[in-house]
Amino acid sequence: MTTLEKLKEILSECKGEDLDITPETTFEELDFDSLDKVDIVMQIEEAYDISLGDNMQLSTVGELIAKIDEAVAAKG
Amino acid sequence: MSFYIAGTGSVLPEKVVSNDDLAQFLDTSDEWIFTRTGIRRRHVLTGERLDDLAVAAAEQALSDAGVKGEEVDLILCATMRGDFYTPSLACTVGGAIGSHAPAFDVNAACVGVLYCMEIADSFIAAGKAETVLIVSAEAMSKLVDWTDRASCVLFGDGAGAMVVRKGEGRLSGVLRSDPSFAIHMPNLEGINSPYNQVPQEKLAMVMDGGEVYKFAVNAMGHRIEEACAAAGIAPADVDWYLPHQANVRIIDASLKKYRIPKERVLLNISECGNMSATSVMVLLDQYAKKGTFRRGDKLLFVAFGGGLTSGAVVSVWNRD
Repeated sequence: MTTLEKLKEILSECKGEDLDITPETTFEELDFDSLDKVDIVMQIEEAYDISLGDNMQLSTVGELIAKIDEAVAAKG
Repeated sequence: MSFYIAGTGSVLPEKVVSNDDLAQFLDTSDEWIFTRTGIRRRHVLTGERLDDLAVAAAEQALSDAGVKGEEVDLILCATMRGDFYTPSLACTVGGAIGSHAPAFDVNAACVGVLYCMEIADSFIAAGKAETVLIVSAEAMSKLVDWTDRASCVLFGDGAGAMVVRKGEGRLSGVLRSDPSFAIHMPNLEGINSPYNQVPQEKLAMVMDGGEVYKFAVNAMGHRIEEACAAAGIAPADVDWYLPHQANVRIIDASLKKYRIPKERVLLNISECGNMSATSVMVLLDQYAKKGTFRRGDKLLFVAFGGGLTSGAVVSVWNRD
């Protein structure tokens, strides 16, 4: 499963509906509130066993994928 | 041998403030507050004193347990700040119920009642007490900044009490601290020492919402697992969850992975908001009075709060 596919699964579950996302999709469009965003980061951290740090700013899906892939690569 | 819960009581201030009431003077709405927190209204102190509420709750719990004030061996009060720094709220309650038992306040923020339950267990296990009165009272409305729409909408005032007595009931308890200023409240206001060089800050609760949410979900989940393991049960074996009522979304997120049916997770947040330590105590009393618990039911209390503190206690309901 690619990072985009995994992210689609996490974001869709959080939203309670099937989301059609691309790397260009912005979090503003997705309209998650602040607690949803923290919840999403926590689920990503658990799924990949990585730490994305506190107060991460989420802009686009593509940027988040890059951060996840970077953290996974750093883990070795 | 540990303790069982022998009696409960709770008292809320008369004044009820709805989300719509708050929207009269804050840039907020019922929909915004409810979808993010699960809160519809909260009780707020007006003319009442916190110690009067605490005494009334204590008297209810003693009466429910059939215990006289002079039979109490220890009084513990979970509060962040009573009406006075001294005498403690625990001593004020002791005076009102005619007790000369040792009495002191415990500040573990929202986890205070669980800390008190574990202190009671230790006193009982050491043979130093057989009957312990645990009280909790919080005047959150006097600790928050009413111009801060992100925090003042979350809290409510109230008082609760339980009597615990030596016997079979408590199965396990776990307490922890993860020191942090993610939730903090300065107390330097009003100091007039001519020698003080520390700048005085406004007395008001400050919270890092994202960090607190993350901590809360993880801490509640971990404490549930640890307390269940120590009790030799699985999370699914718990009959009733009594979680700290900070935010219904924190409760949902921390219990999600155990797939606990919603009807076994007790809530009063929509009507009371977050009453800090007092939340679980009022929750216990409200559901006890409704006749929710049956003898042999396993209750799990779980909480997180400023400190940061967290804890969980598993106890069998040992009453008819």
